[in-house]
Amino acid sequence: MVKQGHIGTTELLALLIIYQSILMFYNLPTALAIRATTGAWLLNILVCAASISFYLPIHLLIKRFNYAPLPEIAYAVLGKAGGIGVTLVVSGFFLYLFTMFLKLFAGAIGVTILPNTPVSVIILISIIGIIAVSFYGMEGVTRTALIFLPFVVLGFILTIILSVPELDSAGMFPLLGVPVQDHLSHAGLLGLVVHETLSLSVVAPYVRKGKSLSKLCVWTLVIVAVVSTILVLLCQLQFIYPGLKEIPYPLYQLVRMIYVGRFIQRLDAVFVLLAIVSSTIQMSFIFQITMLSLAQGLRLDDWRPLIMPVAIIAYALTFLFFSPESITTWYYSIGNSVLTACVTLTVPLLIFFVSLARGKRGRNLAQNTT
Amino acid sequence: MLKTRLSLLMMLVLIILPLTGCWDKLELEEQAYVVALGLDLAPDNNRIVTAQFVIPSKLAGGTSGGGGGGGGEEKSFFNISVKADSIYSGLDLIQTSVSRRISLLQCRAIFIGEDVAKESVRQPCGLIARYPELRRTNFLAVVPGSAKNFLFKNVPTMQSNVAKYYEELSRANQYTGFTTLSTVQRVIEGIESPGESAIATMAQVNQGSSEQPNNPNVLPGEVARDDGAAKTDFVGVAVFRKDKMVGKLGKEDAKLLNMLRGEWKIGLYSIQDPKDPKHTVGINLRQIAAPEVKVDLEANPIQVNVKLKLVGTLVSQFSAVDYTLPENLELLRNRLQEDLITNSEVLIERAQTEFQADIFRFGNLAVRQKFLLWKDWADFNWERQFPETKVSVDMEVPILLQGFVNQPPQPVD
Repeated sequence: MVKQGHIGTTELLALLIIYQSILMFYNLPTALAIRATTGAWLLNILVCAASISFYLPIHLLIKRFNYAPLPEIAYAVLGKAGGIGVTLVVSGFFLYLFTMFLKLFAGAIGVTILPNTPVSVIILISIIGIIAVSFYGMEGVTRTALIFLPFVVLGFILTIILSVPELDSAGMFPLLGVPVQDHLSHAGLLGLVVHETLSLSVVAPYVRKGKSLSKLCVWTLVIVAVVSTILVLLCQLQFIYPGLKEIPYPLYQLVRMIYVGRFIQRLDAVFVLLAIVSSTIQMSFIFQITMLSLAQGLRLDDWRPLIMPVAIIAYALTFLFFSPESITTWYYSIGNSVLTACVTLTVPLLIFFVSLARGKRGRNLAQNTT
Repeated sequence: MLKTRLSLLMMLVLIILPLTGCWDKLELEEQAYVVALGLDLAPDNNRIVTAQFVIPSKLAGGTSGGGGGGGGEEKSFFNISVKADSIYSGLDLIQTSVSRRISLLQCRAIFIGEDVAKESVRQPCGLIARYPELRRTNFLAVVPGSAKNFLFKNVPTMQSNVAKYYEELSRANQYTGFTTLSTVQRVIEGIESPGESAIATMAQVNQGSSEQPNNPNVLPGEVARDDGAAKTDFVGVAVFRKDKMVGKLGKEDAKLLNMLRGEWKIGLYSIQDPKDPKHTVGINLRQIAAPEVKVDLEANPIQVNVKLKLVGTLVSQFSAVDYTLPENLELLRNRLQEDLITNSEVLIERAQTEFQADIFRFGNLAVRQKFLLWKDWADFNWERQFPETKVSVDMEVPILLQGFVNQPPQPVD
């Protein structure tokens, strides 16, 4: 079992809030407006509600195995071949996520503040920073998240307060936007893209109060639901539909619209700084999960030897996946929803049912923290 | 451990190096900052693009001045105009005669010639919204006539910083009501939204004189005044149906439009003196609440009732009537109310028949009455319904204050 420092629940909560909130920096409001028109805010609430229910399979599995890591559970239930297979699927999935987020981040930075800098250079610089963070392990990432969370929260609060003078309530109407059945089908599809639940199955043994993990996940989703719904609503009231569906990075554009006298304007630089910090924390987390799951599957004591190879593979992969234009719509595409569901729902459910059939149960692995 | 720390240190150094800005580094002294852009139609279906550049070294303490090279004053800006097929190809051409790299990061205002506005503002607004250096908060004004002429002739007064001059003028509607809050974003919203039509501030060079008749509902360029230091008028509102300009509103109509949209802050409104009709009375009006708009979509035709809530202060009076007396004050209040209602209804009728454009945003309130789905609202086609709608206006305008004089000074008998 990989030796890893303890992770406090507060730190993990901070990390997961940043992890989910980062989607606001990208195209969540636009994606919701494309699907639900003026009912984007309502769709966001439904997506969050759906996400909570999709956490159930992971919760059932890790609870049954006393918060053991997923690759280890797979070894115990499916045998060596199954264990290696699940390890490759889980770490491969997170490597894919890391690569895509890296490209999404580089694309966003390229479009917003560094239009003349090659995307490959932005990716390279980001990856160097993430490698540096990853030497400190998950503990370092979660603590960094806790330190930066107040700044991110302050950023959101300022955005909300300073945007108010320019808002127009007309953006909320018609209230539903699309029929309820459309809302439900979109929520079901978008709610599937909640991969941090799977990441919890990798970090579960290192969390100090392991048994509060389910509560933690639910609280994260509730907090994120409230914050993101407010921000989606702000975007709706600023860029009245159909304007919102045409705008990439709407939260950034919202901040660009802030004008509260001559001295409170052009706050986009501060916003971008927060977005960069949050994105780095989020990508570091995914990178760390990739290596942890791989190390767990390979039964290594230390994840550090994997850092450079994984980073180089990830950097190489960023040149393969999608064009910068299609990457902005990738996260909310049906393909990504289906792929995420296959990994985050199917794999845990499969292991869970096999464990039920074989009557396998877990043992406490909490002693494997340093 | 030492090796790890050293390699971490190396990585941090590597991260610090690109903080200088990589390929996007900007040296301030190598930038040519555009503060305003003008766009006109050229006869051969091209565009005339005019860029107004600021001269940073002349900003501190110098007097303003400009034009196309004329004038002997210290200039804080200069203009260049070219013919091109779009704004950006125009800027490309302008770059051929400017040594520094053109930057639109400090651009504050976009002036669109009337010919372009009548053709379509969709393309210029789309270009502005797309280009990262420009902002949707940029002030957008329509120039009846040529935007190029406007930028060349315009001489900012009281302000050596031309960027600040545009910024202040763009917000002048808050204390005059002669114009509207006119940004690229608001025009885009007006073009795209089914519940409202776009409007924009108008600006024009004034070549008139105080000899010409005084028209209270004046349009830009027609203010009866002598050509002093200021050569331009920022007054009036351009009306759009979808993306095309279809009409103009003068100074007084702009005031009523602001009141009906709930965007009137405070400003002067003049009426005929009810006791002495050869004189006028000036009342400072403040809007104390958003207009109460009731829409009856079930009625045939659709009925809209607007109730405005304003508070007045008597600030100017030429007659000797004592308006502190309750009966006189009541008379004045009734006259003001009647005047506002009549003029508002005339303006609304003009919007319905002449422009066929809901510049009052009644549609944005109509949608709340019964529509839950976007498709139903879009199919309802408010734009087609608005000209047939029956609109009535109601007012609540108490005159609460009379300035620092109770009764006008009276000569001794």
